[in-house]
Amino acid sequence: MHRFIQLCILIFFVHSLSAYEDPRKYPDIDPSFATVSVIDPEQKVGYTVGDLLDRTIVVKVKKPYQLIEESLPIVGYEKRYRGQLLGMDLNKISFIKQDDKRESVHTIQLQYQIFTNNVVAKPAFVTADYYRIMDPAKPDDVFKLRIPELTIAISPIAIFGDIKVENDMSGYRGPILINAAPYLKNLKVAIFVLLFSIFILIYIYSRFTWVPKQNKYFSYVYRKFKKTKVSQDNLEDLLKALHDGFDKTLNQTLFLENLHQLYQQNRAFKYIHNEIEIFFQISRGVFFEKNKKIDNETIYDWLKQFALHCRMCERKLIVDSNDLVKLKI
Amino acid sequence: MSDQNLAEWRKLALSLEGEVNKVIVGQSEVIRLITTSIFARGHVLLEGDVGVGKTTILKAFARCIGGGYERIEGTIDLMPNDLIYHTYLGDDGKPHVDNGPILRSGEDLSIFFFNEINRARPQVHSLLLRIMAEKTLSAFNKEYSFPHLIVFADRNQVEKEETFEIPSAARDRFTMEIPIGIPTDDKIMTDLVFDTKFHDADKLIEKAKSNLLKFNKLNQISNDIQNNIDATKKLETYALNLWKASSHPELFNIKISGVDTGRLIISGASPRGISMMMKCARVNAWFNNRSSVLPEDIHAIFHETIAHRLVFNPVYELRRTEIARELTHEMLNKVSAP
Repeated sequence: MHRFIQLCILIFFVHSLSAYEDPRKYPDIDPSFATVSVIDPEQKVGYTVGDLLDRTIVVKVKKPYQLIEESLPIVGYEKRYRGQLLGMDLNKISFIKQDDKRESVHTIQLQYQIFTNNVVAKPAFVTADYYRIMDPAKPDDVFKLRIPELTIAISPIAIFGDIKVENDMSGYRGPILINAAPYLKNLKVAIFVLLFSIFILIYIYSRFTWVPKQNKYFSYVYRKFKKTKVSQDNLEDLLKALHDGFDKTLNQTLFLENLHQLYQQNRAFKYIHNEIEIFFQISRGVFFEKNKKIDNETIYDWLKQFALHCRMCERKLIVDSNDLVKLKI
Repeated sequence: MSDQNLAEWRKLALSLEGEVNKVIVGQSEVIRLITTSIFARGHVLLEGDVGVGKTTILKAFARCIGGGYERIEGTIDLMPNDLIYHTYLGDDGKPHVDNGPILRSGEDLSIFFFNEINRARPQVHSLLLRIMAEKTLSAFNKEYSFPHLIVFADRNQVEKEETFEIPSAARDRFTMEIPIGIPTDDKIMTDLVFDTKFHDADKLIEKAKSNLLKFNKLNQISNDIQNNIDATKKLETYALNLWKASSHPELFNIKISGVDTGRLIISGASPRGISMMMKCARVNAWFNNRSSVLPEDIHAIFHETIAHRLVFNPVYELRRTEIARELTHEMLNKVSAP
């Protein structure tokens, strides 16, 4: 039993070795039976980490030979050169096979991704690959087909080796252009957002006249008096300022008789109608009624709150009815 | 007089209004203004179109107030003497001289009603000026006084032929010039046309209570009102600014379309005019049961007490009615209170 297990391990090891055997040991295929053409990327320099590199290989194999598909490169396999990692992985592979009576055409799309960089220019290359070809009738006769290497440079600054930037910058090929389409799309979206924002601002400007330098009489009154303390002079000044604010808003003197004109001009004031009536009662009491007894402190606080409400109305904001404060004069 | 008396008189004044309102429909504002003028002891000039009820209103008031009531029609051949006496041949064949309408009631004369005043000559206006201002008259070597007299006059502004413009001095003696127009309410207009009770004005007036007020107490109550209703410094300032605006509207940024306000006014309201305005404002406050005058009290009587006192540049005189209305409106709009 023990020997049987040793034999199994030996057979598995030998089989594994054969799977990783070096394809270069096979003889080359007769060129009359197999041809290879490679379409390499035009860009040879300027690659850096993350860049993708596409390569198309077309292999034509005449009958009875066939390409062994297991010999194609494997995604994720890291390329090495003299035992050193090249910093270049196969990222994607696609394979199309077209068969007819005389030959089979294999179109292989390979995409490599660069995972290396350097402070100086550095040559890099996709090493040559060897695909295997065989005749199914003679499985022991395996041949190799060499896929040429691809040499590139991962730095655009200076080139060492057999690739020269000046050679690569052919006037016939034209410059490498960045695809402008996504940027143009973004630009269009940004312009649309900008125009829409301007439209909204104009709407706000016309509808809510709280934009700076527009009808800010009550905001001035509120700002001026909100931190002041009650005194007879301050009370009279605040009342006068509020009257002045109404007069300027209406562009004429506001009395109870022409309140409707104020409401026509700015409907928001209608929502504080009760407070405006109280304000006029206070004004009468302070300015025109000699014997009226007034609690200056309570009224002063109320007037400051009223100034705030007027400021909201000036900005065409509706004062919440719960915020309205009733006051008995 | 006590506050209680003022309150009682207030009730009387309101019932006077009510009585006249029963007779004259659709003119409640005019009636309030006339009542105000009566309690301010001021003369009233009614101005309006023909047949709108000017005479009927004044006759109704005369009936309610009581006292002596006299009336004369303004005509182009009316002479001052016609107001004082008239002569006739008596049944005995001898010439007689009787007192004219001014003297007939003596001191009890409470209302003198001058119908179509602008048809009378300036000589008549002159006599009226003295009676209105001084409430006295010299005739038959004797001085007559009319302490309770109020002059009611009316005129229509439509007809200009054979009329004499009332001079500004005469206009100034009227406390109010009250414009009166046709009611605009359909119901009232229909009643005036189809309700037969409105067809006989004399019968209609009889429905108003006569002698509702004690005419000989009106001067006293008027004084009491003036003494009891306060006006604060702020209100004085406001009235003063209105007065200034009546002379120089351009200083208060008052603008009227098509009018150069800097050249509009030749003479603004007189001191007498402003004091009459304040008297009426106090009465209005009393009517509204207040002890102090408010700007709104001035507004209520402003146009009627001030507009007819303004002397316009002759260029604008033809448009007086329209411009005066807009001017007083703008004055109230532009002069701020406080």
